[in-house]
Amino acid sequence: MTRFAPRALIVLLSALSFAARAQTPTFSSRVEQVRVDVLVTDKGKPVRGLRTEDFEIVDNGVVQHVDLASFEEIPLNVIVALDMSESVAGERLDHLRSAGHALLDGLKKDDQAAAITFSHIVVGSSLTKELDRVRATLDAVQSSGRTSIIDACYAGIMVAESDAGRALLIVFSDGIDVSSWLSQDAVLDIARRSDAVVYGVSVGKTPRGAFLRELSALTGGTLFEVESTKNVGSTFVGILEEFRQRYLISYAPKGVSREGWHKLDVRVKGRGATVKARPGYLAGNTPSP
Amino acid sequence: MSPRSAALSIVVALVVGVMTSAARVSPGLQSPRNPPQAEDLSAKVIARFEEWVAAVRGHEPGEIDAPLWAAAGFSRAELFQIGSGMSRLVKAADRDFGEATRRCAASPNRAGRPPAPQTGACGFIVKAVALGLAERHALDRVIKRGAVLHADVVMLTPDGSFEAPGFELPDEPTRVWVDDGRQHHVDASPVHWGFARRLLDLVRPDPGRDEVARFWYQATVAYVQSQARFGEATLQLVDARRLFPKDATILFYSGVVNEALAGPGVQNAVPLLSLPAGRRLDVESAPVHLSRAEAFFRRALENEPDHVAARLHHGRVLGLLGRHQEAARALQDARDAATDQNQEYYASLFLGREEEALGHRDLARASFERAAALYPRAQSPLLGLSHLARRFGDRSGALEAIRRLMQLPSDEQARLDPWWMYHATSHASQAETLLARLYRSVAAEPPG
Repeated sequence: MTRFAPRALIVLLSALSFAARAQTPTFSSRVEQVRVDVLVTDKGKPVRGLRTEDFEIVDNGVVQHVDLASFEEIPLNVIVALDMSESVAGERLDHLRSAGHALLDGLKKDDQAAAITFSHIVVGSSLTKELDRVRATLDAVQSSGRTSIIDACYAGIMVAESDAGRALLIVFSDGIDVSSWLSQDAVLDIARRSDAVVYGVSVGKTPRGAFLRELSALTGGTLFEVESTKNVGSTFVGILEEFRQRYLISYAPKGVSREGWHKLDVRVKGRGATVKARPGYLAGNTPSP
Repeated sequence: MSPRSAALSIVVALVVGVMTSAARVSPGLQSPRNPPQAEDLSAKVIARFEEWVAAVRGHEPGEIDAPLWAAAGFSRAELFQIGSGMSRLVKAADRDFGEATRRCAASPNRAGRPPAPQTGACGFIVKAVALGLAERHALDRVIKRGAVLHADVVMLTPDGSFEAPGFELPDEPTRVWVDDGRQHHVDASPVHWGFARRLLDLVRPDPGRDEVARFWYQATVAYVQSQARFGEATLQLVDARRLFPKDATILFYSGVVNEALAGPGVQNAVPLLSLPAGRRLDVESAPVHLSRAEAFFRRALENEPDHVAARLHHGRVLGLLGRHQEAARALQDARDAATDQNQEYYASLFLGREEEALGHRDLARASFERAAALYPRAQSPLLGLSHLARRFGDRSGALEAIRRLMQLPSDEQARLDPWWMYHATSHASQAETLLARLYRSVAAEPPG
């Protein structure tokens, strides 16, 4: 997670207060906030109704005071990054287009979306509420070329950071990176500094240590391995639904260093729920561990 | 555009490596029959030898002509036998060709009858004499032109025209084709390369001092590298370095192929490959290949300090090895000495990364911007700028660079980024130059 500079913080607080009218959130008076997207499940089912005081967050071993835990109805910024290399020609391309449309169909009025398509070329656009434009982008693209998933994920993270809203990046690829300029480590470093949550979808088995698996894990997302591109649409919709079940916790770090890697431990008090969140965040200009 | 130019513009797939048999080959992999022996030089083979010499003499280097197709039609077994015969010819010429000829005319066969002059080693020698190969320079000319002919067979005919192996030597190399990280197919390495290398070993007095042999290796290595056929490049370079251990071009391409093998296009694909049992892939880990690449580039520069491309690649590899100060110096030198726009672009792009690693944000930005100015529609410098800014906490700068990237045209033809061609097709132009020089050198040889 990043610590917001004051300018970004003001934007963030405004957005949150606009979106969370129905609640009575507690905002911190501190300058910097860290926010963490958290999924709480019990026997596989999302747990609803948790309040701020139900959460405990430990930052580098120091218990923090949770300022805000928001749930549902916060507009989302959904970025979908689709592999359009030559291997997804024909029927597979149709499946991906349909999957993209299904995802857009699941968005709500105040949500924004952006589409990034990539082969060795990365093509994308800004976040927008005009979903027809995003649909048009998906319909126009053709498959060709090689795979630069690392470059595309970086672009997706940046698009996520272009707006203070809550960001979900869904990345589909059926292959491995062969032509990116950025290195895997460089992009994972940036992901550790960002608050975008990345969900990956790949076809077939993805080896341990593979980039998309690592990226999903360290942002608090999940990698889904599907058997065929036919399943991608339902997977996208499922990811969106799961993401809407997540809580957004924020806190102002206290008693911890301003720089470096911060290991996070998020717990729900008093119950044996499973908590899924990013494992930590990188602050300052210190390189990744 | 020459036929080879058309071929060079297409990179179909990446040959990841060449499999050789493991030390203990399972019995099932051994050939069902042994390779042919010299005594198998039947009248038919000797007749084919005559056809082969005609093809060698008739082929115009670099052209797709009838002799080229004729040579492409020779089977592995035939080429093996012709190679054996040529080896005997050269040995005979090394000693006393006249004596060998006389002995062949006089020696009876095992039954005590005079040998049929059309078969066996003697038959081969007698035919060679009849074809005018008794003269040393005529023999050398056929050898060298033969090597060029068979290189042209590989470079100018579709791979599918190669004969499926009728027999396998225990160390028969196999190619694994990988396209965009996926295994595409497995096939035998073209026999023509090995045959041509074997011919060049017969050049006298010393192939390691022969200009045509040297040009042949330089040109064919550049060619296979430009086609991303790294496995074949690796094989070619083993013999190239044996003969020309200090040749800067050969050392340079030795570095280039190792640099490519260390890259994600290869390293990410290798764990996913499905290989036949008992076969070992000729690819090591990235650090191993990077270390080898660094050593080869360094040696190339020791032998030719003004080799700009070697300095450029050396700089990049030093950076990948974490030696950022040295890398930055090398890349700065390479950029200052760049002979074309692509070299300047690569040097600027790589230097940007090194300056970033050294914490020199402004210098890094300037380098990335310089690369972007050279190729305004290339995405890599913009990604570099964005990442640099974000890495130093400048989110607005990072977003600005990404906005620039998003404004680039989506059409592939309009989005030229030389980074995509760095490991392979960036060498196409050099390959053409070296091939042209090879062909001129063959043409300049004394007539046979």
